[in-house]
Amino acid sequence: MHILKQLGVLFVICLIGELVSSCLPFPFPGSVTAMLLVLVFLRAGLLKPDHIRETADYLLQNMAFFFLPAGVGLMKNLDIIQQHLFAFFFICVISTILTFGAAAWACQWIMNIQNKRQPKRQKKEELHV
Amino acid sequence: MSNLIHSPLFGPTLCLLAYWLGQTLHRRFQKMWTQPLLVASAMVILVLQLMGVSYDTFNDSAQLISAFLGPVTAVLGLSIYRQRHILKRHLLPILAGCAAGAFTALTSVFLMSRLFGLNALIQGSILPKSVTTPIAIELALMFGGEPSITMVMTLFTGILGAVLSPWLVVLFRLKNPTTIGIAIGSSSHVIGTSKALEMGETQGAMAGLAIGIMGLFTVFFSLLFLYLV
Repeated sequence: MHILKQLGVLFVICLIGELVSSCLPFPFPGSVTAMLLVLVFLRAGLLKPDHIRETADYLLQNMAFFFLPAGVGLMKNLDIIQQHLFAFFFICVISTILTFGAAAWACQWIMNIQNKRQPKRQKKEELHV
Repeated sequence: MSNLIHSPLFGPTLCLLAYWLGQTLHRRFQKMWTQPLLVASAMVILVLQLMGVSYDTFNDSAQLISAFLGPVTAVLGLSIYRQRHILKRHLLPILAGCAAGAFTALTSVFLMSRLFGLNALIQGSILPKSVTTPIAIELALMFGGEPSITMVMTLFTGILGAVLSPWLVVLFRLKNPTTIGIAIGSSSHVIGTSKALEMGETQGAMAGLAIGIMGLFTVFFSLLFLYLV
């Protein structure tokens, strides 16, 4: 019963997500809206981690299983992959390296700015004391 | 035979058995390329082809499993919520890193797919490839792409990121564990995160956090690309 209740809670949130997404003036995946709703409801205290914990953890730990039907869809598209094998490989390698670099650079850049500011702020506080 | 194939349990049973076998193999060999999802997909395809069953017949019943893509994405909210303390402590660097990662991933894939002259269907399928799979599949559908191509590309990106990340950390001379975690999580989602966890607890937690946040940024930035594809 526990698991069924938690699953029910998640399904309701997902349906609300679909509803909200369908009302937006631009296309936005309902499941991502549901993810934001989970976050907002948890923050607001409307939802407690206990309400979804076991089921949520089960889904998180076995996530890959739910992509299997999509993966099997490859049998329809194998020729597309074969035809563009080099392009796909090239795009994956280059974009993964670029994405890694950009994320690292931006993250480090902001941290360096914050680190430079922090000692100043501490000095100011010392002066005020 | 026909009754069996059209049973609502046919697809789910086949998937469960194949995934269980895939997991057993993965535990046995512990290799990046023995990802259970990859092995299980190949096995299901093989069985369907041997039995002469079409994908559409299989998918009639397998939809029961795909229906869970929504809840699987929604619970990512819980995993972000659990990391809210680290998120608050490093809010700006995390947001900046994930935003830059999401933008670079989309832009670089878009430009390169133009370079290779790929058609709209393929562009729509590979654009969301750097993001966690449930969100990537949703975005592929939004772009009018083919989710199965997206899944393969997403899986390959994850494996690639996990294999390359120790080298990239050295190449980009990264020392800060937060930066390393964010870079790995944004570039290679869940599969990369398993590698980040091996490097340290902070790296792993940051990578895990980056998956969801980078996913959100990608969805928002995708709205810009929707009119370009």
